[in-house]
Amino acid sequence: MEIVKLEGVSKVFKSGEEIINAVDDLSLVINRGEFVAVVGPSGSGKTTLLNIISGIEKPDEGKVFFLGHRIDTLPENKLSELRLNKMGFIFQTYNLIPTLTAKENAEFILFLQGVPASERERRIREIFDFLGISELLDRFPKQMSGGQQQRVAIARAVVGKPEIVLADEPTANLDSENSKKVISLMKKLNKEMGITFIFSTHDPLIMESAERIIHLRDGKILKEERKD
Amino acid sequence: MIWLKLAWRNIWRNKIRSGIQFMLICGSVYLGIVFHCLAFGNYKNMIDQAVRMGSGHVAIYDTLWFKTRKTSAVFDTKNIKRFLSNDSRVEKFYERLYIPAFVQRVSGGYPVNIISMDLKEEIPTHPLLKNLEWKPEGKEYVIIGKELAKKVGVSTNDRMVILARDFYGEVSGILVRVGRIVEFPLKEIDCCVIFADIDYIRDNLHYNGKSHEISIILRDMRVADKFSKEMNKTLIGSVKSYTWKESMKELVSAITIDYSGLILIMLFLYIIISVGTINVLFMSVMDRTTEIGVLRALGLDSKHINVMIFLEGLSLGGFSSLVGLILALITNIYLSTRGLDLSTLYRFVGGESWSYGGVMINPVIRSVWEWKGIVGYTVFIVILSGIASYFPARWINRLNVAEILRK
Ligand SMILES: Nc1ncnc2c1ncn2[C@@H]1O[C@H](COP(=O)(O)OP(=O)(O)O)[C@@H](O)[C@H]1O
Ligand SMILES: [Mg+2]
Repeated sequence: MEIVKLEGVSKVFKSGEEIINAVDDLSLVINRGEFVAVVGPSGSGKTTLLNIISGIEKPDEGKVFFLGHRIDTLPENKLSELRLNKMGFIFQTYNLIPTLTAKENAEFILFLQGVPASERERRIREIFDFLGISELLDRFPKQMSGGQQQRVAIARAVVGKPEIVLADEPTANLDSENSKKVISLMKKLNKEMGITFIFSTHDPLIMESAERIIHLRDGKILKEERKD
Repeated sequence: MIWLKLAWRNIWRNKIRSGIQFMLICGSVYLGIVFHCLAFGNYKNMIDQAVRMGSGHVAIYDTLWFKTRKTSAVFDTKNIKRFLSNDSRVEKFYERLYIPAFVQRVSGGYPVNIISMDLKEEIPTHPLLKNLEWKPEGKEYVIIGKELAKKVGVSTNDRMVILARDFYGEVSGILVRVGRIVEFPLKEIDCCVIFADIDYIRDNLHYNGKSHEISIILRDMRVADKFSKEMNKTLIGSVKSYTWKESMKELVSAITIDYSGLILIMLFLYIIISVGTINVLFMSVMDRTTEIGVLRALGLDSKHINVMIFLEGLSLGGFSSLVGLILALITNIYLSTRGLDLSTLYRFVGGESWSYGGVMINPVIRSVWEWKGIVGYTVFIVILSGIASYFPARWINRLNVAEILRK
């Protein structure tokens, strides 16, 4: 089943005189359960592509479908609702809320989704156990290492049972050890919970773990690799 | 709960900034409540004194006297007195006769006003006379001010002659004896008033059973309006009943002006404080632009962001004003029991005359528990703090999430 579909999507930025085709007439289908890497050098349009998929950025041209519904025409509040309930996010700089503990960071998402308190508690324990980070529950972000924070960020991204997780260079700030851990956790979630993942990276080692690799250059798909 | 926790922790991320704002809000709530309760204590005191000195909660006059103070405008009090004695709402009532006169001495004549009243009755409660601890030994005894005594050259127990017109317009001499010489705080009284017994003056000047004024003290001053209306239905001719608000317009307007001034100052202070709150919230929001951008990426919409910042304003305002309230209540316990002694200040700024709006004020101000004001000052700043959050929230909601995250 198609979870994401882009049809002839373009995004243009103007910086001064220069016109940049960040995403250029790009079409793409991603199916449920895929584990996709978007790779390419800096400035190739990876972030813009992910932002268009999540509705954070609106394309100038083309259509964006999510679970069969067109989303590029949706109003801001509908897109927020969609992101809150159906998507998870992982960032390069972790971006946990510094005033909330690991547990509260995850709980906040469930709270906004309207999950009752007892259920929240259960789901958080379950996911932290699954990721092997239960000892981090009550730590504030500044009491954790980068790798620990990113693993908590993964917990936050999946605790709300999203259809898809979008991760923009999730390992760029981590050493290779931690990078491998993070990717393997993502893969575990993909395999055992069936969550679709799209992540961007320019690390060759990391992209090798993906089943499908989309090479991006100047906003266009250069080539695609699939492993079975 | 999670919203409040988040708001509370976010406020205290910058302890100095929020701490200063906390003190400003706390301080202005404190000042607002304390001044408000003191002011109302002062007003109550002023009204009380004015009421006892002058026309009571409700006064009965001939309309002509009320408007022109024409000495001939007296009325018969017998029937009205009987009526008042039977009304349980009346605590006390006093008759008064005000006669312009001359004190005749070898050295010349001195214009005075005779305030004639039931001295035996009124001395214990009248604000100007109540500390005298003196009882007139006869009907001819009068009380005069120190200034008048000096001018006229009399001392206690001296006799003197006062010239005044009687009821029929004939000039008549009244022989009185100086019973007490008092230093009155009001100059106009100290120099030119003679407190005399009403029966004695009536007998001498043929004002039989007549008065200029019946001043009525009610058990509960709040029924004054209703009571006065009822009186007016039973009174006949040009004799009318007036509430203290009608008979002491000067005092009422002095209080109104004073209170409006206080409200205006506090409003001004509150607005400045709220601009400070806006500023604090703005800086706090700007400091965590990325963080809020992330929240919006995660799926919080503008309503969520509004709620988040609104609660930050509300909890900062709420906490600060709660502390201000508690401190103010503690202060008010002291000020309402012990009072605030301003006598040195008055002597310093205003000479010896402690009068305001034509009324003598007690230099010890006792505050009252004026709950409308107490609640008002506390709640109003919380509301303003909530409103203050609107501006920073609108600002951050208008920023483009993708732009924020790119940085
Ligand atoms: N808001 C913007 N204004 C101007 N240029 C932009 C903006 N956002 C992205 N770009 C440009 O678009 C191109 C693609 O950017 P991006 O999607 O961030 O690439 P990547 O994530 O692969 O590094 C880059 O050339 C970048 O400079
Ligand atoms: Mg990027």
